[in-house]
Amino acid sequence: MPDIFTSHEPKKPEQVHHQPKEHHVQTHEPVHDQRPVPTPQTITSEHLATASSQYPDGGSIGLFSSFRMHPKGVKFVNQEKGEHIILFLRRHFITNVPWILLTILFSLLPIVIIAILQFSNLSLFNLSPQLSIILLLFYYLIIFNYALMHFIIWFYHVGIVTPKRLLDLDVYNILSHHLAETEMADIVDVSFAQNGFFQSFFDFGNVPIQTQAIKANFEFESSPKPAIVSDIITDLRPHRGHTPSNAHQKGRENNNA
Amino acid sequence: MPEFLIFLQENGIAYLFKGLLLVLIFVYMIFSFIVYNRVRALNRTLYLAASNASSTLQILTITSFLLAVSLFIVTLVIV
Repeated sequence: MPDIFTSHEPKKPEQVHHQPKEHHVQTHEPVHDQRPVPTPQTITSEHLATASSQYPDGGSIGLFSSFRMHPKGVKFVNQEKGEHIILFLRRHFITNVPWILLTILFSLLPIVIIAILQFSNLSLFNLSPQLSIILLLFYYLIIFNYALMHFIIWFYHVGIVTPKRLLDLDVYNILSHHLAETEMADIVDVSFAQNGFFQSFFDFGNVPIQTQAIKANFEFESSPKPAIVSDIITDLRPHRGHTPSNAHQKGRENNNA
Repeated sequence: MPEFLIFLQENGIAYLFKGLLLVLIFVYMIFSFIVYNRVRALNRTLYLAASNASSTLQILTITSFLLAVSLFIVTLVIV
């Protein structure tokens, strides 16, 4: 499986999936979860240790990385002191292929047009050479900006998982972005879905995260390794035995202590 | 026929084109400045210090803006 864009992580010794592989869409039902009820202490230590040991990683995030566990050198707004990032996600790099191809195509277009015009001894306008060069430079500047804009949208469209919360930074276009966050205790349900050939071949998909009714639902779109992402979030989530507010309250008390 | 009209008849298309190009480059210049500002704002929301990725993007956007300004000046003066 081509996996060149999912960071320089060392190969995992063994991936332990809690989800059966044959189902592409799966929902974790916490009601039937038979695991022991964790105390607030285990939310940040035991669960974190489980997630970390299964999927070891670490290091800095490159310009083209889309999946990184325990990244170094990442700072986000409202980050608390000592708040460690467990998972950093972007959309799979393969999702950039359409605009990259379009950029290449439009970059080659003037060359083709000039060649055709020269070959057929035709001229569209009687422009001065200076104006023609300016026009060409402007054209390539627009293409450069087009590519840059799409890259920026991909680059900042991220999902972050910390032991305490989830952050979802959505950049829809260059003029609008939206940052949402939720506490781990408020997560009700985590699932993942892979549809179609490309998502199956390159192992990426959507990870919808359902939160409590009054809050907006989250979705990590086109996330690489969605099964692992879903698994990590499920491991970090407090058990249903606690009411979310209780777990959150106790977690805060524990932090203060 | 007045000299002004003769001049326009001979160079009309070129000047019209230049004017149009100047307007377009000016609009592009404003847009690239908006992109630069947006990247600055996004860097405040999320900053990737380790690999200099955020700084690289900021440099690329400011380069794009400066190129647009240069092109505007060149079009205005030289052409």
